[in-house]
Parts: sequence; structure tokens; C-alpha cells
Amino acid sequence: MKDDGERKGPNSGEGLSERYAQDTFLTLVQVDEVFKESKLLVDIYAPAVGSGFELIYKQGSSFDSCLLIKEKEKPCTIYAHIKDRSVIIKQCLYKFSVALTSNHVTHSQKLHSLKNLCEKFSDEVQEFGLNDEMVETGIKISQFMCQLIKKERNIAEDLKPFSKQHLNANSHYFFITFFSIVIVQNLDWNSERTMETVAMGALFHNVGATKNKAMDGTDKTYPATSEEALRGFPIVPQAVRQIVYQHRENIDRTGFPNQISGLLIYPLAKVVALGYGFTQLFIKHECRHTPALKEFLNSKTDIIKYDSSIIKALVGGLIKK
Amino acid sequence: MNTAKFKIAKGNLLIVDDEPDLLKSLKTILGDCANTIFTACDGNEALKVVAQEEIHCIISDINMPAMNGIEFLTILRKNGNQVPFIIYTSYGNHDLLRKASSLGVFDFLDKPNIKNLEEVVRKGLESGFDKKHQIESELDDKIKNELLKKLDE
Repeated sequence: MKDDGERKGPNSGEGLSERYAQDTFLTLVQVDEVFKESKLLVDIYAPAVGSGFELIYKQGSSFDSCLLIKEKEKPCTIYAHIKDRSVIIKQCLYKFSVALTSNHVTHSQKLHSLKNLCEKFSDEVQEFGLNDEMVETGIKISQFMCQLIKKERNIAEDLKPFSKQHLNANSHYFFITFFSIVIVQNLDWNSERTMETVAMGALFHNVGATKNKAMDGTDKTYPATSEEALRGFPIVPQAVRQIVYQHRENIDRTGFPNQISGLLIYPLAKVVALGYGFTQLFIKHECRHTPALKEFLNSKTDIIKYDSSIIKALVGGLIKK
Repeated sequence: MNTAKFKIAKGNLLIVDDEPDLLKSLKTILGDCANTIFTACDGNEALKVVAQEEIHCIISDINMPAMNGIEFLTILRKNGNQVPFIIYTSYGNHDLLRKASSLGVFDFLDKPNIKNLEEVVRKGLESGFDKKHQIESELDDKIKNELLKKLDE
């Protein structure tokens, strides 16, 4: 049984004997993410009888031959190898670009798809680091989020379907981006450019983190390491890097890395700072925005960290219209 | 200028660049955004303008002879001047840009792209003008209570 992440390809001649003791090298996937034109894009694994995971279908298998997946009366939890995650992300991006303009897909389904994409994106970056493809993916996700949130005027309604069960270690990437877009959309100086810049800054806020370090909430070096990680990609505007670098600064000089005052903080970084801060409360309140807002507004130590105009934009954006 | 899109701006703009042709072009492009536009060819000259005139926003290149944009910004901040500072450069020295970050930069624009230039300068001028007349305040109790009341509606 393998447990070191090394894996032979589907054509290695080993048949379907491939097994893993743990899910460390596997990632949970949905059926509709792994098929393209009725063919499996990647190898598929499922929990084995007893313990561990085993390869059940090989890349290239037809949908009809994948009986465990096909038979709806026997729902099957399926996994792909993490090395194939970028292929799945690509497929999810493609599917979302089609769904975005479709009237047959609900707004809520679209939001959940984007949340799923954000989580896969952050998993991939934490596991393997940034590369050109992932940077382009991040930019695309940011643009999709702006387009979707711009379309929907009732943000409060948008948030209703989310609950505790939708949260995982990387859900905050989605919510920080979501709330940052809501804020910038409700500021009187918003524009197409500022929205996308803010969305990218929010989504990329922690791209310098490795899987182990990402779990450490006390790490104060991550804005700098994330900004450095983005330097090699000219496609990422300097404004985005600036947001990443300063999104943990507070106007009362209690932030990091430089503890600078409000006047010196890049205005769009202040937006993501509140998007970040509010996301912590939103998650604490199990995805209920009203109690999260109440706690935030009643906390003197919280509200002095942010510009009043930005707080008003967040509350205004979340109040049911 | 498209007046339907942009509000009438207030305040004075200083453009700092060592390319005379670009200074001329920017002055024309941004002509309607500010009350008065001043120009300077490097940081030394820009400091003289700042000392003599009331400036509400600065747009500056980084790579200039005599005194570069970051040195200019450093002196400005040391003098307690918090004017919105927009970096407009094709010079991508990451360390210099990070230094600029910690000194406070209002926005970054890539040269020679002029898309968004007008919009960013307009915001910078408004911010610079407003800052001179009112200090950004934390959320006051009255507004906070109004927001809480709205949440309960």
C-alpha cells in the first residue's frame, strides 16, 4: 500500500491495484468535475473495503463504464490524486464560464461553485506553490466573482445557503474575496478596475503560505512572503501586490508588517483588511452575517481598526434591500 | 473629460517625470481633473514645488536623475506631508516598490498605460483635498447605532 505520494500513471500496467493508506495524497471531487465529454479526466479513487483508498477507475474511462459513479442509488465518495487537481480546476473553470450566463443554474449554485474553485485553488497553491497557470486561474476566479456579485443585488439572500457544514480550512479565501467585493461595490469610488484589483488582492492574500505554515494563525510574515511570491508574475498588477502586502495593516497602527497609520495604508488594502477581519467573525458565527455584523459593530476594538467609510460600505452591502 | 462620469475635481496636481514629452502629454490628458497642474522633472524640483504650492495629489515616476521618486516620497513623509502619492512607472524594482509601500502610496499605475489614469488621479485629488479639510474619523456612535438599527429591521 502506498503512502508516500509517489504514484504510477494509469497506463503503468498495474491494473487497478493502486491503493493509499490515507487520504493525504487525495482530494475529494464531485462527479461533474471529473468528466469531459463522458470520459474521465483523471484517475478516480474511493474508500476501500476495510481501510484506505483504492483506484477504482482510470483516466479515460467512459462514464457508462463507471458503474459506482453512474448508479445514483449508491452514492459514492470519490477522490482524485492531488497531482491531478490542476486538471480538475481547469475543468471547473470551464464549466463555470458556461454556467455563469446560464439561466438554468441558480445564483446560489454559481456561488457554491466559485467557493469550491477558491478552495481548490488555495489547496493547489499551498501544496505546489504558484505557477503561471495558477496565477491565471486566480485572476479568472477573481473576475468571475466580480461578475457574479455585481449581478446580484441582494447579497444577504446570497449568504443564506451557506452554513457551518460548508466550511473547511480554505473556505475563508472565498469569503474574504466575497466580502471585499461587496465593500468595494458599495464605495462611491468603485470601478471595474478597483473591483477586480481588490478581488485578486483578496484571493491572493496568502499565496506565500505553505501547507504547514498556512495553519499557523500567528504568522506575521505571510503578507511579505505572499507579496514576494507574486513578484515573478508580471501579469499581476503592482496594486494587487500592494494589497497583499498591506491587507493586515490597521488604521490604528495595530496591524502588520509595518504598523503604519491609516493615511499610509493603500486604500484598497484597507478594503481587504475589513474583508479579512469580517470573515473571521462570519466564520465564528457559522456563516450568519447579521450576528457577525452586530458583534463587529459593538466591538470598539474592532471598529477602530478600519475606516468608517469602508465599514459603512460593508454594512450597506449586507443589509437586505 | 466626461463630466457625466466624473465629478468636478478640486485641488492641485503635481506630475513628476524626467521625460518632457510625457509631462506634456499627461498635463493635457489630466487637464480637466485638477484646478492647477504643476510639473517637475525630478524629486529635487518637485520638493521645491511642494514647498511653494498647496498640492493635493502627486503622480510620480520612480526612475529619475538627481532624486528618484522613492527618495522624493521619503523626504515628503519625513516632513509630515501625507499627500496622496501615485506611482506611475515602468521601472519594476521590487525592493523600491516595497519601500514605497511602507511610506504610503495611494495607487500604482503601469507606464505607459493611461487607462484608468484619469480615474485614479481624480480619486487621489479628492482624497487629498478632503484630508486637508477633515481627518478621517472612526465610526462614530450615532452612525454605529443607525447601522445596528438597520440590521434589526
